Amino acid sequence: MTQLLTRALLVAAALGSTLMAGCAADSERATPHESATARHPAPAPAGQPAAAGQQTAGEEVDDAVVTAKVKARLVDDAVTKAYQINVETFKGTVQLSGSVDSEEARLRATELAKNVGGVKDVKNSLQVRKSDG
Amino acid sequence: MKRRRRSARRVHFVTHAETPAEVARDVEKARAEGQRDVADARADAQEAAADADKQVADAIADHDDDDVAKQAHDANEAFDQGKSKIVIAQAEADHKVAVEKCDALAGSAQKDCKDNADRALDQAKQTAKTNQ
Repeated sequence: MTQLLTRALLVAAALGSTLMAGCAADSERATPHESATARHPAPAPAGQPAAAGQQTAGEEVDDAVVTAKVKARLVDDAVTKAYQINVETFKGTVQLSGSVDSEEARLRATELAKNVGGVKDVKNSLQVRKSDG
Repeated sequence: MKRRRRSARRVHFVTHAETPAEVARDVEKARAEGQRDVADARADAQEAAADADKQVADAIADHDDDDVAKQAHDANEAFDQGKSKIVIAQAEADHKVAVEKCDALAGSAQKDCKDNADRALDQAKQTAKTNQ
């Protein structure tokens, strides 16, 4: 009986440590640094093919150009120029983030970004926050 | 003398229908010309956009933020102008074909048909200008 109890405790301890290890792995994946690295891995050296999910140096330059053009478009526009909108580009997909105070501004930002040369897709994470008064 | 002048004016306004074979030949020619013009406009637009993008990339490499903003603004304008030129080239290509098709008609029907084609072209150009 004692032997049986000891074995059950050992199994429970082993299961517990496995679950903890899983939690630790999850929390590591969620760190801002790692998620940012996953989204923007370092470019492949010149002359070498890029691995899956990795950018070539040329693509990185193209994305920087797209980002600059989207920012210029947002600054030139009467509706969106009033807001601080963050723009990031990865392989032609533009990510907009930050906050605006109307749905109109949020939609306008997407429309402007879509009409920039080299943009393949737009992910809009802009938050609409109504300003008081 | 007066009578002759009047009849000459009347002859000027009389329009005859072309044969179906003539219309088909002219339509095909207009279509080919239009496609060439659109392809040229597209190639020019792509070249202008690529040149403008290179200016932005150079400014980024130089870490000159003011120049990046200016070149990015210019690149957007070049892209918009290129898009507008392609739309206009397509509208002109459509207009050429439409006008040739009108030659299958005679008299006032032909004139109305060509006027409609002209109006469609003007509208397309205006829209392209507005959207630029």
